[in-house]
Amino acid sequence: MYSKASKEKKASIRARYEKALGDYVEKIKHDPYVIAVVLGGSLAYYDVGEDSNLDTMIIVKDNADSATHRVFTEEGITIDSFVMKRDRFRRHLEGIIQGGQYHSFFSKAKILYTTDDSLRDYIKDSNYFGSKDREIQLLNFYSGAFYSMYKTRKFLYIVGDVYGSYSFYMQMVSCLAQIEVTLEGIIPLREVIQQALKLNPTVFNKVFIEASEMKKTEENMTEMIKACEEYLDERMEIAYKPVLDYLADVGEFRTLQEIREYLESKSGQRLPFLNLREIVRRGWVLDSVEEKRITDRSQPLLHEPSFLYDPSMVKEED
Amino acid sequence: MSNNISVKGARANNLKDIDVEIPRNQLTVITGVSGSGKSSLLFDVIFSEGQRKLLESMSSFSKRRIPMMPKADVTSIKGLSPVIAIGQIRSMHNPRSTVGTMTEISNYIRLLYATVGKAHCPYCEVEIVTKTANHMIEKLERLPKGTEVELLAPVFKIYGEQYEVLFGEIREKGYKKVRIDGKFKDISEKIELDEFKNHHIEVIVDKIIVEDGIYNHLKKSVENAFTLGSGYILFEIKESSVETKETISFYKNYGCSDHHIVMGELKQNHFSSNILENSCRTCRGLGVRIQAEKQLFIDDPEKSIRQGALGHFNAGRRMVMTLSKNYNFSLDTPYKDLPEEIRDMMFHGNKGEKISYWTKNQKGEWYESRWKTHYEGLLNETNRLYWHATRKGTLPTPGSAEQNFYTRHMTERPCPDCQGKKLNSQRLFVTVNGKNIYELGNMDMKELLGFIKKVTFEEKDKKVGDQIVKESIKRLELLIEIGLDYINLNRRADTLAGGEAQRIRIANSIGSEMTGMLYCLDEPTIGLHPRDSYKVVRTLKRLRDLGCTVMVVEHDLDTIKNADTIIEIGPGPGSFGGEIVIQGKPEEIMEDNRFLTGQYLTGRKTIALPSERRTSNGKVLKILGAKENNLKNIDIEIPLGVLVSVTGVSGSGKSSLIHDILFRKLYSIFYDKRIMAGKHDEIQGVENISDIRNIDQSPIGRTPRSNPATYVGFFDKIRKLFKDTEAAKQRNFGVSYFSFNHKNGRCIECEGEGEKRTDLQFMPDIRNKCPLCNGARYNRDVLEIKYRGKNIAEILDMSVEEALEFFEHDNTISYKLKVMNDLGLGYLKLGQSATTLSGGEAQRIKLSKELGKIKRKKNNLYLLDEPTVGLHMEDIQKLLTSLNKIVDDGNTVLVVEHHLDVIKSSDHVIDLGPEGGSEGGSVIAQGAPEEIAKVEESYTGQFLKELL
Repeated sequence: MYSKASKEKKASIRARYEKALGDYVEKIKHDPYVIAVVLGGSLAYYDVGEDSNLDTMIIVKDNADSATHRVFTEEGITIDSFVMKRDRFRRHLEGIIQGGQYHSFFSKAKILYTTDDSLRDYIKDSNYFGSKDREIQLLNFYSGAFYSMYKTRKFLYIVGDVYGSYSFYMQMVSCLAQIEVTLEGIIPLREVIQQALKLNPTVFNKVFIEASEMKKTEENMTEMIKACEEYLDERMEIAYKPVLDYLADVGEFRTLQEIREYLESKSGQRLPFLNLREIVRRGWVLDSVEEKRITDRSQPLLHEPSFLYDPSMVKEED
Repeated sequence: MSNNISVKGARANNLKDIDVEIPRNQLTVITGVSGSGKSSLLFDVIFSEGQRKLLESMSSFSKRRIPMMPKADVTSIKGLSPVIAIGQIRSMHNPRSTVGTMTEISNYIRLLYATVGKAHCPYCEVEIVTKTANHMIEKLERLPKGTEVELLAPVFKIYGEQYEVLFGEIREKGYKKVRIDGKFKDISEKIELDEFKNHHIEVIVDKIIVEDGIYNHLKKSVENAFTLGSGYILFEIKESSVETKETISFYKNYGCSDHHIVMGELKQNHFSSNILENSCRTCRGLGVRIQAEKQLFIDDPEKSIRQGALGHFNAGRRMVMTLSKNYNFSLDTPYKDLPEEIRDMMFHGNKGEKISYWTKNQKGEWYESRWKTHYEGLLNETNRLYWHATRKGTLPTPGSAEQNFYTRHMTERPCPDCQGKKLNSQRLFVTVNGKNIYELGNMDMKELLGFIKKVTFEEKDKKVGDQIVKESIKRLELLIEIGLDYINLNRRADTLAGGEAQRIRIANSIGSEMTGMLYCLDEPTIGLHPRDSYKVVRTLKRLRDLGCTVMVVEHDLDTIKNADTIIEIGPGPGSFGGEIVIQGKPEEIMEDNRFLTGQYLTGRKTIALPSERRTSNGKVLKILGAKENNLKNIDIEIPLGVLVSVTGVSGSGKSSLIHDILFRKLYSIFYDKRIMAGKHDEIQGVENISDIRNIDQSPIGRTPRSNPATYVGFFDKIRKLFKDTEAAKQRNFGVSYFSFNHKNGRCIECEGEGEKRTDLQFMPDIRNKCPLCNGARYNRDVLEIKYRGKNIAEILDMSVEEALEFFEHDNTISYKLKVMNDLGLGYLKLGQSATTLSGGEAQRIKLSKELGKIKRKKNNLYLLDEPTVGLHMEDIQKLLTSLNKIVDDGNTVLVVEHHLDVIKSSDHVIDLGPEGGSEGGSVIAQGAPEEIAKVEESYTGQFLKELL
């Protein structure tokens, strides 16, 4: 708990920051080219500290030009400002996938000033996490989780570096938290582990808090990895549903490249690290190979993994 | 200014240091036997020097960017003006180039649509107004403050593609909200739609609250909506907004009152299919789509699948084994003996039936897996992969293995989305007098002219409109005047015959109305029926009357007769020519005995009629139900073993019948089944011929390293003779030493080119004789070897005639040389590079190659398209002799020809017509020339009558 003195100090810092921000916005209001000022970051989220900066976004008219990232100061406080034209801002906001890093800026953003009320709706709407976006993000987070999982295991069992292993483990826990939050339809923020702790305290107390406090031994790490694996296993069918649906729909082999391009064309988003190794390992899909060339001019045929999924057969097995 | 162009000391090619005075502002025809030096004088001396001098006057900055021409081999030329050469080069391989773009009429038509085109609502096709962006903004700004307006853009999905993909594209462009059939959706959500239904999809481009100072972002958003909606934009006032007179009247008289759609201002480039935003999204403005074709996958129906009947689709593939095991057919049965349904399944798939999947274990043994799959078929699979790559823009580069696979197995078909219209549907919703721009492009020139003349304009558009109409009419009339009334604007440039392309360029030149120019033309009457050749003469005279100097290389007697000045170069071909035989006005020189062409003109010399007509060998080749292009479902019977001419005015369908249907079909049977023949029902009697040979005018080689000796094939023999000499044996020289392409024998300095090129930056490259071999192309060791006193370089420098004498004792070589000489090619040097040969020469070299090996095969069918091109009357006689020789050996020769002397010498004539374009395509007469002459309706018949 905070002491009275510390509370007072915090309040005074906050007041200083708010005043600086107010002055800053006042000045901007006189600029006819600025349509809106949006506040994101610490002051919008939580409390500020003495060395915090302010994150703002300035939306300008379409006929004005500016560099994208500007740094200003107001009463000794650094104000990082992203400057965007209205059209670009709007299209960027609608075009990017929800749940990504950029998005977390807006999820708690406040409009400090605007001459264009339509922007309020845009920012409000940006908090909406559509089911298609959730699907794609889940796949991305799962791929990230598996990547960190392989590295954690490698450092633990092959390199024999338990601390190196732990650093990858924490990355994996972040991915797990992103999965947890996304499954709940909430946009993952920078503090995603804290979000997950609230949503699923049983799991995240163990894999995050207990793991942080435990002695870093091979045995302890193995136990934690196992817990994470269980977590991933339980939700895997939901995460890989778009892939399985697609493969069930075509009923034929499709290469990894084809699956990725299909998902990308559907969502308009990139999926560079799609990983299907785990669903093969679990026997959900059959993998084979297709002969492909590296470049269109190449002669030698290489084997590209391809996948087949038959939902009826999986049911029979159950 | 001097009244003459005076050329002094012209020595290019075979010209013998000649001086000539050519009158300016006149129509001068240069004639003479083939190879006499006509083209050398006109193109290599006059044109090339004129061009060079013009380019030399440019700044050195420009010169660095323009390939400079070498100085012509001439002492001096005075009195030149800017020079334009209109040759026969068929180099337009760009599928986007059309008659419309070549003549620039398309530009005017597009402008016409942009100016007076009536837009229609894409949903209900009701006529709507077009407004500029500023118009719209003004209208929006006038709405009461606080009114919420949504800007939407109607979008359409790609043919055969899922709606999901369209949503993906929209998202990528930065939009998330759409309205589907009136309901708002967020595309970050999953949306299930019936793929087979046409849904109205509109993207919400922006939401605007009317206030002061919104002009800038309104402008941006309107522009964005235009781009996304291909010109269409939809305004929706939110129901919650204040309802005032303005909001209620907003939709009235403003776009489609039902759908609230307006069309943005149309610009000329909105109607160009070469701009991606306007083109059909499926074919990207090409009008054709590449599709996998079943027959191209069948490599050899006699083989089994294991042996490779279907190429790469062989027993090694898991899917092939899966199909074989599930449907119980053997991979060792010859493909043709497999049941029909199995063969069908290979290509079209198993209609979704689930079958167990067969795969290999680690030892390479096949086993039945637990998995079930279905098969989409070879065609679907290939199409899917190819189209996917097209959309992604990841098509393999030409020449790559993947590209080769696609080329081998796919062919062009009309685009299933736009049906060859090239433009997207939004553009086709714009009409002028009820016709869209594509329909206009399909009209022949006469019809189009009639249409354009009827277009009327509102007062505000009148100034622009009248100008457009005036310019289009002028160009159309010129094209009609020059005999191109049958072609249409949509016709692809690469399907035009050389003569047609040339006439279009002549019409363009007249259209430009420049005076004082110097035009050099090469046989502009090629491909024209005698009925129409006067049209070309008339046009050339118009060009002259504009104040230009027109010089034409021509063999057509009509044109020669009509010239102001005639220059005959000769007397013989090659080294026997190169001198001015006679020059003067037609009336002055006509009776002069030196004037060889004059002897034909006055009838003192003629090509004799054959004493008797040959009769067919009793066998026939039948083309049934020919429907390609303008052909009217006709049946044709071609008697075999005789000389057959196919005649008719330009555009009557001769080439469609002979080249597109007959040749392509037979070629696909005998050689390459990828070739798709034009539309027809059947060709009967193919068993009556043993081979098909097309002898066209395409070059025999595109590099200077190819020459008549290598092409006809006796050079190998000559090299062998050298190899067998004692001297060569002593030095252990094989045949490769006697090739200027091989590193063993060629000169090391010039690598066998015989000359060295010096790059002089902004001055023309200078080509000098190689200092080491002195132009001989071989190294010294090889040149020391002599065969009967001559070394290999000296032999390549011989003319065919000289070589004939030299190789008299060698039957094989002398026979081939004799054939070339008989065809009038005696003047050609054996080592003359292929790039310097004319189309006519190339054709005759090909013909001599065929004649040279004629003994080996019988019952061949030879197809020749206008073999008289570039031939003087003297040479036509020689050509006929050769053709007759082929026929007398039991073969059939089929010529597409306008030259009456060839037609009258044929045994059988098939006359198509009566007119060109849509009015052609029927058989007017068939039979011996005498019978054709009796047919009143046949234009050819009427001209023949005078000769028989």
